[in-house]
Amino acid sequence: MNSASSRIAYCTSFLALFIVSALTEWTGAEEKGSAALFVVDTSAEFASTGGECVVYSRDSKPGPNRSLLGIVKGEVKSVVVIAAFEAGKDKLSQGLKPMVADQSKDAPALRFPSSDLTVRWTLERPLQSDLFVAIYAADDPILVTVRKTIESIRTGSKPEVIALHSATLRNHFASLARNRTTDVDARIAPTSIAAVRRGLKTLHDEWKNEGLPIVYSKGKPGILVFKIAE
Amino acid sequence: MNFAALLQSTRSYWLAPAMALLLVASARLLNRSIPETLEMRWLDGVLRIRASAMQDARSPGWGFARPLDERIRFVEIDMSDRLAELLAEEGEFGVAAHALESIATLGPKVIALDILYGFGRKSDQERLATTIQNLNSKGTTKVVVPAEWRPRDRELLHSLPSAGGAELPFGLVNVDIDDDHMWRHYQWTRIGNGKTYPSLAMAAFSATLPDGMQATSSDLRPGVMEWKSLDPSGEIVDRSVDDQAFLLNFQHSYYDASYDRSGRLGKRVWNLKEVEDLCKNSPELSPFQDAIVFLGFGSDFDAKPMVHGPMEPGMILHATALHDLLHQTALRRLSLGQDFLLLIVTALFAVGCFAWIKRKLGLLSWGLAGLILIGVASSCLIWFGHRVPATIATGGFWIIAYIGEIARRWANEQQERIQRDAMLGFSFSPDVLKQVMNNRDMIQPRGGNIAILLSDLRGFTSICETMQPDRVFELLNRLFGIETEEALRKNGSLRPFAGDQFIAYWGAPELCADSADRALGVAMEICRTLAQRQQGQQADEIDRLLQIGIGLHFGPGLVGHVGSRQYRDYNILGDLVNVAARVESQSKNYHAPILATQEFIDALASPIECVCLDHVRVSGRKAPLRLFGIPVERTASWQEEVLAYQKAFSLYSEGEFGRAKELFKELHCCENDMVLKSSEFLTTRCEALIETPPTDWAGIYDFRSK
Repeated sequence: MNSASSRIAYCTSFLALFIVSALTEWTGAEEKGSAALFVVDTSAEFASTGGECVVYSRDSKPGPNRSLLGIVKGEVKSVVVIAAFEAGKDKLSQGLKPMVADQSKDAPALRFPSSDLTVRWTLERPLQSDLFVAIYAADDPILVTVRKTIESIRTGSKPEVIALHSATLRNHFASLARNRTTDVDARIAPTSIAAVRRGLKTLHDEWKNEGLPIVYSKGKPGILVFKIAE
Repeated sequence: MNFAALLQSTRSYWLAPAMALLLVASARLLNRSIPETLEMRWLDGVLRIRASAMQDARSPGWGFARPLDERIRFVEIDMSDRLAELLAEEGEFGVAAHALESIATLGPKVIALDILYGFGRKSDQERLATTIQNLNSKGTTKVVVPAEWRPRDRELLHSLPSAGGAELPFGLVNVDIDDDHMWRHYQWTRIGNGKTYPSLAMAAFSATLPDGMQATSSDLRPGVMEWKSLDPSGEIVDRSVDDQAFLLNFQHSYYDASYDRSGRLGKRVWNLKEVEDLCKNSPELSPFQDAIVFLGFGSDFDAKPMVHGPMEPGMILHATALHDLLHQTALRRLSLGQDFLLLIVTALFAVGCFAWIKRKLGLLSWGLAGLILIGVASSCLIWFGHRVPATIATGGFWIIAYIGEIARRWANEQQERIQRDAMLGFSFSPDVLKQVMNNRDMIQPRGGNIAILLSDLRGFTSICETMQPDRVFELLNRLFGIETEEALRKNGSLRPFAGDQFIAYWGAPELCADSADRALGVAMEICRTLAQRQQGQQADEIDRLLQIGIGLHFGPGLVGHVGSRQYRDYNILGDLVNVAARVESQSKNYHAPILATQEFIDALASPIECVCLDHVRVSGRKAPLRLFGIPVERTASWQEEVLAYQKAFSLYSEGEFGRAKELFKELHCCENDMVLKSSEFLTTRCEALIETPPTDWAGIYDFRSK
C-alpha cells in the first residue's frame, strides 16, 4: 500500500470514527440498569435470614406466608419508576401507588412496595398483576409527563381522576413494552436463576446477581414487564 | 351600460370572477355528485402524497403521515394450509374461537372481531359465544363483536344471534360506500329505531376506557355518545362523538411493506400462524400488550377499494377510524358557507390580481402560481387542519376566472384593434376600406407593383417662414382637401401627411390593373381643380399659393403597418417613394405640373400625350430616369413644339450640344409653358456642357443635388 492510499485509509477511518462518535452523542449513549422480582417467604423456618427470597418465574406459586418484592436500580442520573396494575386493566393492583425515584451515586435501590407495605401473594389472596418497571434518563423529556401523571395518581382524591391517570400511565408503559419487543432476551427470567435462594436481610447486597438488565437512553426509556399470575 | 360595453371596460376586473363564481355555484347546485367525486379524488391524491412522503414508519421523515396508532394491530385469517387444517378440525366458528383465545394469550386490551357471524348452527354459535363470554368475564381482554344495522328491515343483525350474541358488546360494521365505489366515509355512531349504536371502532375504543368510564349514549340526544377523558393539563373533560359522517384520514396502505409487514415483533399485521407461534415461544414478549387488535379476513375475503389501494381489507376502515378518534384527526368537509367564503376570498384575490397585473405573461404566471397556492393551501389544511375544503371548486373557479379574464382582455384587444383599424378609413377610400374590413388579410404587409402620386407645395419653406401658422394650416388643409378628395374618388390609398407632402397610391392593398391610369387621372384632376380655383373670381391669397408639383412613378413597393404596438400607421415603403420624391422635386426645373417616369408611362393602359423632357440620374440613385412631362391642357401648337423639343433633345443626347442649344433657343418663344421652360433649362445646360465637355457622355445628365 503506498503512502497516498495509507493516508486516505487513515483519514477515512478517522472520519468514520468521528461520525460514529457524533452519532452516539446525538442519539444518546445506552446505559443499563437492572431489576428483579422476588417471591419472599417469611415462614418461621426462614426467620434467621429475615425470609427466603426466590426470583419470580413462571413456575412460582403463591403460599401462606408469601409476598412479592420488586427491586430496581438505575445508573446515576436516571429515574426509575415502578407501577403494578391488575392484569389487562388500568386499575392499580391492590391500590398500590406507583413509585418514582431519582438515582444518584449513593441512592439505594428502589423497593416496591416500600418497606412499610407488602404485596401479599397467598392462595387466599391470589394475584393477577402486570408489574411495570421503567428506567428513564434523567433528562428524558417524557419524564415530565410521567412524573405529573404519577403525582396525579398519588395525590388524586376522586376515583375517576385516579382511574384516568392510571390508564394514561399504563398506556405509556404498554407502549414502551410494545416498542421494546426486540430486547427479548433481557425480559425473560432464566429458569435456572429461580433455584437461587437468598435471605431478605442480605438481599439488599445480593439482589443484583439475579437482576435482569434494562437498557435505556435519552428518549428511549427501558422497560420490563413482570406478568404475575396466580 | 350594455354587456358589450361592460366587457370593453378596462376596469371590469370583477366581471370574470363574478361569472366564474356563478358558473361554479351553478355546477354545484345542478349536480352535486360529480363535483363531490372530484373533490374526493383530490383528497385521495393529497393523502397519497403525504403517505409517499414517509415511506418508512420507523423514521418519521417530514412528519406528515403518522403511522396508525401503535396500539392498533391486525390479525388476519388468511387462506393458508394452517387455516384449512383448522377449518377441518374446528369449523369456521371454531377457527374464530381459536384465534380469539390465541390472541388473548398475548395480552391485548381489546379484540374487535370484524367478521359478522350472523347465521349458522346454534352449536357452532355457542362454541364461539362461550369463548367470547369467557374472555370478557376474565376481564384481561375484552372482545367486541360486529353487528349490522339493516335500514331496509329496520333491524339490527347481531353476531351469534342464536347463542346470546345480543348480550355481547358490539359495534356496527356498516360503512357506506361513496358514489365512485370507494370507501372513505365513516360514522362513529348510527341511529336505529331511536337507539344510538356505536360503530366497531367506537365500541373498540370504548372498551379501552377504564372500568365505569366507557362511552355511553344515555340521557343524550340520539346519535351522540359521551365519555370522560383527560385534557393535556390533566383535567377531566367530557368528550363526545355524533352520527355525522366524516372522512377517514388514511395514513398508510394496509400493505405498506416497511410499515405493516416488517417481519419484526413490532409489525402491524399478523396472520394466525404467526400468532400461534408467538404464543408457544414467548408470550411475555407480546407485541399485542395492551393493544387493540382487529381480527378479520385478509384481502382474499374482504377486499375493498380505498385511497391507498384497490383491494384492502375492511379492517383498516375501522382501524383508521379508531386512530382518528384517538388522535382527533378525523377529516371534516368545510361547510357550504365556509366553502363559499373561500370562493369569495379567492374571487377577491383574483380581482386584485387582475387589477394589478397588466402584462399577459404576468397574468399567466400568477394564474399558475395561484393554482399551485390553492393546491398547497388545500393540502396543508387537510394534512394539518384536518379540514377538507372544496379544492376542485376553488381551483376550477380560479381557472375559469383566469380564462374569463384572458378572454375579456383578448376581446378588449380585438375591439381596440377594430377601432384602430377603423382609423384606416383615413388612409383608404370607402370602397377599399370595405374590402379591408371584409378581409383583414389585405392589410397584412404585402408587396406589389404600385402606382404612386407624390405632390409638394412649391416654396413651402418660404411660405412657412413668412406666413402665420394658422394661415399655413389653412393652406395645407385646402390643398390636402382637394388632393384627398380626388385620390379617394379614384379609390386611392393615402400615406399619412408629412409637412406639405401628399402621397397617394394604387395597387395596394387592393390589386388594381389600371393603377397608373387612375394615378394620372387624379393628378390631372388635382391640377385642373387648382387651376380653376386660382382663376376663379373668389380666389384669395391662399389660392394663389396653391402651386404644386406632382411626381408619378410606377414600381415595386411594400405596404403595411409600420410602427410599434403603441403607435403605428399604415404606410408605403420602397424605392418608388424615393423616386417619386426625386421626380417631383425636378418638376419645378421643367415647369411641368406633372412629371412622370418612363416606368409610369409604360404602365399606362391608355396612351397619352406627353413629352420626354430629360434623361437624368438623380442624386443618390444609380439607375437613370427618363422624365416625361404631361400637359394638363394642350395648346394648339403642342404637337409642333413637342416635335421641335424632341429634335433638339436628340441632338443633345448624341452630344451635339451646340446644335441642340440652337434648337432649344428656337423654342424660347413657344406657347407651352412646360416646353418653354424645359428648353430654357436645357439651353443653359448645353452652354455649360459646351464650356466643360463631358468625357464619357451617354446622354444622361447627373444631378448633383436633390
